[in-house]
Amino acid sequence: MNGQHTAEVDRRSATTICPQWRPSVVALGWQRTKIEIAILSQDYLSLFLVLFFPALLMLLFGMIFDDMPPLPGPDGQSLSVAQTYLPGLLAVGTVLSGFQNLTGYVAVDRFNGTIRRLSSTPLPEVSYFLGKIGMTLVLVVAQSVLLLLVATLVFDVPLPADPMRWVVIAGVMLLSTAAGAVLGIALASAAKTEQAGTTLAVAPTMVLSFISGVYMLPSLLPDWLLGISAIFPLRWTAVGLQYAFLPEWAFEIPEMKTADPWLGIGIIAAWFVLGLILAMKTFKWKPKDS
Amino acid sequence: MAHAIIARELVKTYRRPQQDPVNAVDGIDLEIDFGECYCLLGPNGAGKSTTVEMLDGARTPTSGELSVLGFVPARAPAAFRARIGVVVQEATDGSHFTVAQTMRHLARIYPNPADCDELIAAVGLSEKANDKVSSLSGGQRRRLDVALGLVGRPEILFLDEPTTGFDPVSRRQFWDLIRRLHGDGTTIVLTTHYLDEAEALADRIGIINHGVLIDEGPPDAIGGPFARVPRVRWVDEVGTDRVERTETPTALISSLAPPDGGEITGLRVVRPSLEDVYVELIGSADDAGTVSDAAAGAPTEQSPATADSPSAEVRSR
Repeated sequence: MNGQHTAEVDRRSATTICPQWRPSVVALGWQRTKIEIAILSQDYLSLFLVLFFPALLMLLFGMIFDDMPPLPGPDGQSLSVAQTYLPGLLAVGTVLSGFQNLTGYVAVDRFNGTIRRLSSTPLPEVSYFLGKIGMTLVLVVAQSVLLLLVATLVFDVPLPADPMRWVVIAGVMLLSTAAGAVLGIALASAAKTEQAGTTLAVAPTMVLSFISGVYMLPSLLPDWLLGISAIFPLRWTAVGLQYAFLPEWAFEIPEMKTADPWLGIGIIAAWFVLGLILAMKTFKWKPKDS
Repeated sequence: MAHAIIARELVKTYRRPQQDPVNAVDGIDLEIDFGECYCLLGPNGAGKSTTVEMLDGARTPTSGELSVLGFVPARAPAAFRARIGVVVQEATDGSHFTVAQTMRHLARIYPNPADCDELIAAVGLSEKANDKVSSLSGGQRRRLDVALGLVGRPEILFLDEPTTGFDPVSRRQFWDLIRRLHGDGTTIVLTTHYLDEAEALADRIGIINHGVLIDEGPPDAIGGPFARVPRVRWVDEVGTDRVERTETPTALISSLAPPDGGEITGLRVVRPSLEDVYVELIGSADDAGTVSDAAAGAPTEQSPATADSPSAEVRSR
């Protein structure tokens, strides 16, 4: 149409970008991780809450039940209250970071145009999620380290020495975080508004924390309530971590109301698969219009 | 490659709960050249955004053929998205970062990005480069959106209603920016419901209504020769308002002139503006629109496979 312009078409990019060009999934995933962490670290209040929440609860419960006698075990061993609380609080950290936090951030991205903008660039969808995963892992590790520091330095909680136990701890926490993350993405994709996305995840986290033997030790909960929480992954994350953290005699006494940790890992894995299917069905990188 | 964009019989059907499916885009043909500035003009809900979203790959057409830079946009690889730029509507992302940071984040995704500082200067945001995005005014925010759309040095830039909500000064600045891009040879596809914007920027305008392209052409020729025929208005001897369309207004006026050399009462010669042409086209299409809406509800339209538009013949004359 406009001769003077068409003659000067900038062909540079046309000649340098061949149709086989692929962006680096991993490098961009790492870049997204840094961006996600930068976004998170500018939201001081929620960063503080997410990072310190389990550690603060540890301090709180440790002080409230300060005068409760330790649970006596064989050969003069005993189990302090702080020791009984530690696995549950680590478990709730994975739900806070993996489920609650991620639900909010994915909902924000859906409604503020981030996803629409990124999906029109060469950024691979996988890199976007690598960024979310990276941010979540950094959060889980940081809050767990803080919690373990408080537990060991303030309450003298002994940590397992056997490396196999740490493998179980890392595995259970990773699986639980992953299950929470995919369920959170599915929930964020179903939310009708940004606000709904950020608040929807709070209620289940709250309720499950109470009935799964995390805030209230299992010995205080009726069996039928524990039966209900046994449907959900938080209860089993706590059991799996108790299995790794507690001495064997403590894990097996009836007051602890523990259960088969390997069955638990199966249940968390089932939630992960369900969440993955739901997330893949509901999350829209591009509007999959009907 | 002759055309940057070729669309044939493009249809987009939206299913609606408890209602008949609707063809938001109902059989559109497009041929847009490299370096052209093409403007889709139409009222709200005409199908402009849906069309652009199919061109940039965000939406998959229900039927029809589409080729953009030789790719099928909705199935195109990353290499396609590296060569286009999309200026998104109403985005509020990036508010945690500065203008310069936001630009650099996006630049990292592209194989051959533009110089971010130069681009920030080009959109007139140099003084704001180190300010948080959340501190920008509406107009500044939109100029940042354009800069973000340009950061990968796109061959085609898509803009959907870019100046909605602008004050007149920001609008003019924005137009200057688009004109500079156009001067650099970038192919530009923009949608607007502002006639002056289409007239100011476009090499060609496509007028779209009810998902159908009802006319297409350069701003000064759209509507066809007949629509552009001047109208002579006057008040005759008995005091009646008169209007006549004529290719030869001078001859008509001479014949009307009173023999005594007096004046013709209320004489005006009006060359129809784009707005006159537009209103006439949209008005007549709305009459036809009721027919195509009825057809859209027919059972054959239900399945995407058979959704080839029966009303495609309504297209441009």
